[in-house]
Amino acid sequence: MRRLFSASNASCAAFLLLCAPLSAQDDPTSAMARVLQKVREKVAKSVVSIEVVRDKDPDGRGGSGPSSTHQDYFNRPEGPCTGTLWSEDGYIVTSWFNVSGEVRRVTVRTHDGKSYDAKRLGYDATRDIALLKIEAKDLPVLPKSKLDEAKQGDFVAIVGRAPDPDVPTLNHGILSAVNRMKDACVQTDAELNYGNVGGPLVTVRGEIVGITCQVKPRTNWGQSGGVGFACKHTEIDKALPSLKQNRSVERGKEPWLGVTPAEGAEGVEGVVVAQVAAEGPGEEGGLQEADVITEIDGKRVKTWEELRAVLETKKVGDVVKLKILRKDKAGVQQPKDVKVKLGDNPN
Amino acid sequence: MRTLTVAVVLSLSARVAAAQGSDDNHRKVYDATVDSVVAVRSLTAGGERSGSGIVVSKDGLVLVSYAAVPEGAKNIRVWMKGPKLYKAEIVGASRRDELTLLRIKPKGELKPIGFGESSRVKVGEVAYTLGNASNSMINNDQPSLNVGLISGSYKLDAARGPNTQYTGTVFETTAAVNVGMEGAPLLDGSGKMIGFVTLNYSPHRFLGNAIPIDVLRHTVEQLVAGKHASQIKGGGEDGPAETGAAWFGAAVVEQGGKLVIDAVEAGSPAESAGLRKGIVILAAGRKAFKSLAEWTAFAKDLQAGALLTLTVDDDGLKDDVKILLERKK
Amino acid sequence: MNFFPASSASSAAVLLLCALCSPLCAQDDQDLEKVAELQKKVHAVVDRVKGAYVFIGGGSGVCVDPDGWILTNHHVAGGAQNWKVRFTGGKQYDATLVGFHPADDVALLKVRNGKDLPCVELGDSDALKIGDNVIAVGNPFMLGNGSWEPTITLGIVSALHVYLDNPGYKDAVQTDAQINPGNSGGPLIGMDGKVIGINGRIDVKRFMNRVNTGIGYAIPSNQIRRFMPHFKAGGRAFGGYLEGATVGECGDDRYENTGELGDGVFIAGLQDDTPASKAGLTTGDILFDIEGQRPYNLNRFHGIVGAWPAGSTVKVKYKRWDAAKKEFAVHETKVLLGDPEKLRAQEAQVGNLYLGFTPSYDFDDLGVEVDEVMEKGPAATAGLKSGDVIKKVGDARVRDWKDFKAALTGKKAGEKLKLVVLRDGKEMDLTITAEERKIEGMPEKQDE
Repeated sequence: MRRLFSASNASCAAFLLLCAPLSAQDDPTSAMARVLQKVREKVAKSVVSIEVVRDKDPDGRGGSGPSSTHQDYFNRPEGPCTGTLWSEDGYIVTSWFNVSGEVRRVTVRTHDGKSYDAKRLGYDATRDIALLKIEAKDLPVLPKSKLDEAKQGDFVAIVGRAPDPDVPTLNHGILSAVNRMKDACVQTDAELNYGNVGGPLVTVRGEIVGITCQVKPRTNWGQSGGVGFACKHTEIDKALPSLKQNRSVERGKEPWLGVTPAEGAEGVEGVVVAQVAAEGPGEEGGLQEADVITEIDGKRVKTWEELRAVLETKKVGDVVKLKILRKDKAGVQQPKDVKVKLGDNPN
Repeated sequence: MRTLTVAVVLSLSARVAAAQGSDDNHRKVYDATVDSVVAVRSLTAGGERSGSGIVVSKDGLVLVSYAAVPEGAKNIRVWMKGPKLYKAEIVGASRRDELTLLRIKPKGELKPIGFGESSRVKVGEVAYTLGNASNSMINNDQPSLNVGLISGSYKLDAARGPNTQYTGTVFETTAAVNVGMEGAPLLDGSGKMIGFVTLNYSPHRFLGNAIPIDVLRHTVEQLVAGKHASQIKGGGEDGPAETGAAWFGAAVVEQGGKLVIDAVEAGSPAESAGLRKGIVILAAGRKAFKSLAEWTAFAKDLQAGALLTLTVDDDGLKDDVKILLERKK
Repeated sequence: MNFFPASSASSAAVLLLCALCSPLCAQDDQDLEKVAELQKKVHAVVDRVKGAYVFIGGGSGVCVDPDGWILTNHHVAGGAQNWKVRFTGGKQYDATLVGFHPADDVALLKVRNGKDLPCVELGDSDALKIGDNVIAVGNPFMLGNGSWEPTITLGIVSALHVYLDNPGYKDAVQTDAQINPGNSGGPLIGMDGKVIGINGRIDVKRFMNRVNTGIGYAIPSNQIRRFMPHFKAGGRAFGGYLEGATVGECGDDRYENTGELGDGVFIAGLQDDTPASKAGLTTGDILFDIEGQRPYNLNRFHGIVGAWPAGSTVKVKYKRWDAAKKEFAVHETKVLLGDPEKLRAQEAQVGNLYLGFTPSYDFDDLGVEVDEVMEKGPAATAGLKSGDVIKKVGDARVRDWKDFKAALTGKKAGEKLKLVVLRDGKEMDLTITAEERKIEGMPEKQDE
């Protein structure tokens, strides 16, 4: 054994080395793909598919979409949706949208194919999360990420279990923003859709950042448009005690005019209406695009901030008297009075 | 020992060189496949249609989407990066598999695409689409490259995309798929084609889908060899066609002046589409049914493989239901 | 077999052998390292550019100079003269619209008394390659309002030199980075942290909602850089064009010796005493290289010349058929791409009539707004003033330039035309007498 490295052994070794695989591709994209495959494998164990049987589904049909031939973009599809295991003994967090409506039965299927009847407990519509409970034990739960270290640009992934519960889906992207929806959510460009909402948003190490949420039929984004949100795990843990006790938080009743203002154009003494939300209170009251709101309930307003400050003193259902300027057929700004019954902000 | 040192040095430098690649893999895949990708446009009964495609033989066989070039299409033009423009003829087509084979007459040899094996593809793998997105090839001589992952795999149970035919298992990818990309290749990380892009999609996901190449391989081989049913005189698609032999699967009766579904056969297209006893049939497209006789006459003429859209009344809720008719068994 | 040889040299070799031949066990760590490297790169770019991002109205912008020069889209900022803009974090500044190019959707604002403002450089969009990573910074769906934190998205360059109509993006960069309403005017950044484009359009054909489907377009930084002096000088900028020549795509078999499709464009028609003829070009010449770019089809040709400001002189290489030698000879020349003054004046014309004012480029449906009134022209004589909105010509209601042109069809020089004009909120009647068109050989005004 003294001459382990004889000439022939050395050439064998050389031959081996030269043939030694650059087996896997070394570029960052391939490396990322391999990392994400491992993430999916690990994380999928904590992702469940959910089947819901409903009596009534008021959230299921969107309809403010521009084209009726693409209604399915705004309609809840039939079939399973996704949820995430939150405790070993069977608490499951999912998007409130997934289990909203008059629900008759909820069935959960875990990664090993077992089916469970689930109880729908509390939900927080302001966070778009809901809590389910199944009777089980030793379920795998994901570790939590350090949210105070989260940064814009962080690579993230989403695992879902729809439309095929047996083949978990994988979407990836970055954190587009770390504080949205009054700091309750992160924003990501990883695609969110009806299929994966309720699934976990995770880091490349498989730690949970939050639960994907906020896919709403009435908004124009979502459905894989590149703008999606996840409710931070810290927020979920804050809400958990209440949810466990079956206490629910309805959508924050935020008095809503139903218009998007145009910000910043000078020389305009008032708030310019850039968009009027379809089927919203502004539209009902007769507000139109390009209207300039100059007064609300007797108070002169020049900026959106001023207008919002007045709105915050009102309640949903209050009728406000607006003074606006609207260009007539001759193009002349004419003052008009418009009454709007404040709605409940769905956004 | 010297041989060993040489081997070590060589191996190390090879690894270092490979480690330089940042976006190099995207460019590598693009360079390796761009000359095998085409754009196509044809004049159909429904107007001009455009799409993408791939080169499958050195001497000019090109595979495109049936959605862009259906049977009977005229004035078929194929673009390749250059730009190069060719006139093309249909050699064969499979409506079910959403494929049409064309022949062009190039000056030199073309570079056929390399096929991979879709059975080996895993969710999470790198994936690319390369094609005529929004007519980028036809208008700008620019095949559009998109990168993402294989993000899922599932069965599509309805044809929702424009002029799509294939329903079956598909790959899903986060690589962008858009109008004009029907027939484009879905490529794996090494640039091999593992899927054929379709504009069909899942209403759960709204992401790009591609028909796995293994599903199409047999049909493609038949088309290339001239042995496909569409190329044999007297043969229809996949065997003799049975006209008027569509299987709808729901019995309809007249009740109180309305056409009501009375029973639905298990496993039938009607059942898959969600039709149930009690649902009222109002119309098919613009044709409203005023009597059972009208419906019966209409149903008799239905063709297997057709996509039927019925307007129905489901307990007060009006809806459009799409049913993919199958062949009567 | 003894795997632990006595000599240390051999044991070192064995260890090295093991390390090199066992990629699989180290793969996971290697992969995570690679991902961490890429993560660092992305963070570095985001940190560098975020501060220079600007919120403007319903869209975005980017500051490219410490004195506060801000680039955005024309459709974001072209509708008003003065803006209150906010940088990331919320600090607000007053900014003025200085220069703009409506056709190509670019606008330049200047922060009043701007100094030491966060900014990013313009990069080299011609150095981009398909597959390069890019980052978009924007404010889709106004999600950043309030917190004044923009949205970051990541993607690649999908295609280059894309020519789009309506509005005209001449030489666009196509990307699959997610861009949505609110991203308009924001920067597309390369991995070197420089601006390589201004985002402005997305394709929404699939699923038909105003939501990104993986195709976004940006105006390239090199085009913007060439236009910057014109923007800073103020007012409307014009794109270049080959004045005096009609061009066709190579390979056109109606003509002789036009080469192959893709070679370039050939001169199908030429007028005397124009920049094209003065540059030494003649009919039949095949232009195959314009400032290093090949005009491989008509779209690309218009894209190349349009990405230079009118008044630029560009190097053109062309092939000319030598009938004697029966081969092409290669030549080079310099060509002036249009005259911006002429273009401005040209707009004072409609068909055969000269009216003496230029219209402003508002996307309003109200009427034709008068931008500039030429001294001693029919408009000046009629008493038209800058800012007036022409609403009627005779009995015809006129909502935009198209309507205006239509209303003047058939009218003759010397004819008195009654105009109804809106000035300071009041309507008034004016009479304008059109004159004969002055400048010969000008191409018809392109509709915006």
